[in-house]
Amino acid sequence: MPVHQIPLKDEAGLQIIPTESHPPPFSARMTCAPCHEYAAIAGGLHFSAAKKGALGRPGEPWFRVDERTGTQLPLSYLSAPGVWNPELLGLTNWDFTLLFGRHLPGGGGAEPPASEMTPGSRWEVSGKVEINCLGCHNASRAQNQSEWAKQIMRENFRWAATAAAGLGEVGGMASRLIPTWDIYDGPNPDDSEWAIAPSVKYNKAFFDSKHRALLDLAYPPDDARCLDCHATGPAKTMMFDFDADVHSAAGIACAACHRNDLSHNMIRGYEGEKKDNPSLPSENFTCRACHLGEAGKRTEVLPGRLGAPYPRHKGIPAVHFERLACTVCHSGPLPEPEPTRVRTSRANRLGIFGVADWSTDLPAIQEPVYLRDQNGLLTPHRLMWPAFWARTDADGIHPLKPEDVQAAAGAVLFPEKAITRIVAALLNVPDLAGIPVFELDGRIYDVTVDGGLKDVGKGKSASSGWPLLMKDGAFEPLVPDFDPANAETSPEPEARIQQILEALAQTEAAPGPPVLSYKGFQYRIVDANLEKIEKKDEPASSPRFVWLKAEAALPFVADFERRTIAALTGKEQTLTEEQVKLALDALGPKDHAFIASGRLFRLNDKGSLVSRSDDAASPVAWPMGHEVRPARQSLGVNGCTDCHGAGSDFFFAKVRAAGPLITDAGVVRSRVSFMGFFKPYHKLFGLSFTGRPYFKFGLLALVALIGSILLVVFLGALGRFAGLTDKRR
Amino acid sequence: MIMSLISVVVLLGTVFGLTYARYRERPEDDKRTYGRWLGVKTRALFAAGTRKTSRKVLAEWLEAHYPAWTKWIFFALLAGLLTQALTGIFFEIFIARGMFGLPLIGHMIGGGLFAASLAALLLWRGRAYRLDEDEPGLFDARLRPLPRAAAGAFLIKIVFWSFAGFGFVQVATAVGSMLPVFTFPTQETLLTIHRLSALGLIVTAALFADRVFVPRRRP
Repeated sequence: MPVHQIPLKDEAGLQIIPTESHPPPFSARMTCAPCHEYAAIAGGLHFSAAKKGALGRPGEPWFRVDERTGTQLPLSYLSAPGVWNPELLGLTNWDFTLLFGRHLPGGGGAEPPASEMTPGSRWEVSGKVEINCLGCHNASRAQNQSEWAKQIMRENFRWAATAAAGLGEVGGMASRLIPTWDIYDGPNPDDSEWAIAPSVKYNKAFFDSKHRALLDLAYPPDDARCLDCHATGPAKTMMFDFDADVHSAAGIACAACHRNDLSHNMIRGYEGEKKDNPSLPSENFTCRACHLGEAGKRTEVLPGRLGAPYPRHKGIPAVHFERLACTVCHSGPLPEPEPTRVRTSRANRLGIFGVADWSTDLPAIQEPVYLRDQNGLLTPHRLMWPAFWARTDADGIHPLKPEDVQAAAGAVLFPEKAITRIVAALLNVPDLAGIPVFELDGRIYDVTVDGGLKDVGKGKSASSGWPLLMKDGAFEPLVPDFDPANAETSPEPEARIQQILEALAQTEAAPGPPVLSYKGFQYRIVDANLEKIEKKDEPASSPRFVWLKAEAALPFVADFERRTIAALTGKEQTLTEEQVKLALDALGPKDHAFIASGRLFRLNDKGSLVSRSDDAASPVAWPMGHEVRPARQSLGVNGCTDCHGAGSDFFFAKVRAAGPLITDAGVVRSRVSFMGFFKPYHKLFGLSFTGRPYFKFGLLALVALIGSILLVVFLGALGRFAGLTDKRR
Repeated sequence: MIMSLISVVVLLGTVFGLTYARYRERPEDDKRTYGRWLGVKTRALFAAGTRKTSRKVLAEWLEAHYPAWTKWIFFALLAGLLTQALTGIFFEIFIARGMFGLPLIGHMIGGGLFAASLAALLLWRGRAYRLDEDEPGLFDARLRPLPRAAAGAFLIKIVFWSFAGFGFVQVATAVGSMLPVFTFPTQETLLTIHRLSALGLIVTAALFADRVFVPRRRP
């Protein structure tokens, strides 16, 4: 790999002078192209995801995730069972790039020609996402995927590569600029606080006196670059307890097997890839090729590549090698009573760090589930049950955009706002002695930075519904304890009450003015003054807040929100059946449905929520190759009962249709049902392993007995035929 | 594929060899062709009296060779052998995937029965097939053609012990492939040996039945 001390060039092909006042971002197309043919690279695997049928066996789709609407919808431009074409959802190249550009390597749909730019897109402002060569080949530890994601979300497309590589610091947000802004317009002189144009401040330490940048490049890419987009980890395992793939642990880089030439048409390494992509010597890079040397059996392969050990597979019946992919026994988590929930970089936004938590629980991906691949071999897959709202008609099911669902369903999907708005309003109370929290039905909720609720403790009353103060881990009433009837001691607390009621009156979407009932008195704000009315029929011993609407008292949190908050807080699910029912009512009960948990939910003629099975609710699955475990952790290393048994987790683990909805109607399937096997047979077959050790022992004894008799007969016959017996006589 | 072809050739060859040997022993005035002769004999298999005659021959043979309860050893061996042969041949010739599922379990259980009954057979009946002193040694002057009757008995003994030998290989290769001892290529070799010895077992069993149960014409 030669030293890359080269001039950086901008989109126009002009050399970048980092010391000038407003230098443009560097362009990979112009900087790398003089030596590396950009057009040839652009046809590579990572940049051609929109080319139908180009990639062979299904890979991980993209997931449109919206926790609020409970959407986890698999998307792909490639046709595969269970995935939806983004175009069917009305997603343009622009939309797709905004949604998934955080993990796109650039090129393809993120770098559309003028003819493919749709109305409403802002490519002129943001620039295109050119293939980010440094995203893979930068060996510097300054390469930062989080920075890349941040710049993409700010629509700073053409600046993202410069910022992510650490070549310079990028400020401003293209997303806030007017649609007619152009990079040649430069900074926005009218606004230095909000609509700030993106700009680069290059790190001059990278440049020499001729303004050439010293780039630390790697060919092939470091694993860390691959894992930015291709990492997978168990959702409930601490990182320190998670072992990397055995190949990585042995020092074998991802690109040692997943090789490519200038075309960037990469070897994926699955059996049968040669048929999908004849131009690559992929048959040399399967598990079997390296470890057994029998990939194509009639093709020349190079066994033992990179020191691959030859597996002895002692005692494993040959049928296993004919019917199973190597990864069944060697890859992914060991089978447990339920598949392991995992999170992946692209689906769950792993590895992107910032003030807020970028990673998401949804989509709920599980592994391993064993399905047949295109060769008919049983292969471990990752699996996800789709969840989305849809319009239904005679032509089938048409997924809805989460934004459209939110707009139609409104407050139904935001039950926690009844609390978060109150807590937000209380932050305006001067000199609060703690953090405002909310006690509801015996639980105390704090508001998270993401605007959600977090259960932080147990309250005193099972039917509570009022704010408290949290101080040093303890909870105390918002209003100090005092006697309202005592005119000498009450003025100070009542002044506090006035501040609180004034703050609460500013609560967003409040149904009316706030009122406080306390020890037989009622307080409210009238003409900016605190009005105190004696109400002997309301002897509330602790402060009780309500909204007053047309002289009727409304609780701070209505019953629907109480139920929903209690059901959802602390759970990964984001919807209840009651919410689904109300949202379907809002969307139009006749022709709308919600798909989740392996079922299609809709309202019947009586307005009740019912569910049925539907193809659209079937899980989407894609084969998995890693993490490969050490040989001593392979299935079968402890004998047949690793997999075969009446209660085997391998065959009979329960695969629950995990998703965003709390429901009892969700599908639960046995792992064996995905394999296409007959469950009772495998129960019976598994049972037979209880007696097999004795059977084998018995057979061994019989072999010894029969062998002994035959040996005696053979020796006797040999003696007779040789005449030795006669001679002895 | 090759094993399937070998199986078909060996099985058809055995049927042809045994029937053609019989055909050659027909009376001199019988001028029928082999095909016509075989057709007649095949039809005779389904004639009314054949089943009764066969049962009688078998009962007499069992009475003479397997008295009292020991006849169950013979029946167990027969059941085990038939299970093995039928499942083995069917899947070898007609199912490209090979044997799997319940038939495989049946094949394994039948194999256990076969192994146990073969061991019992050798213990109880092995002596009956002892090679006599009259039979020739390799290096003495008695190496000469045996009288026809003695040659027949000698052949039956050889067939019997060949059958036992093939049976031993069958059981040993099956057990071997079940134990966590041999590598995958070795197992494949064991499986090939298992298939080949199964053919040997069937051929020797057919030869034995031909020699023992089907009456021969006196010269």
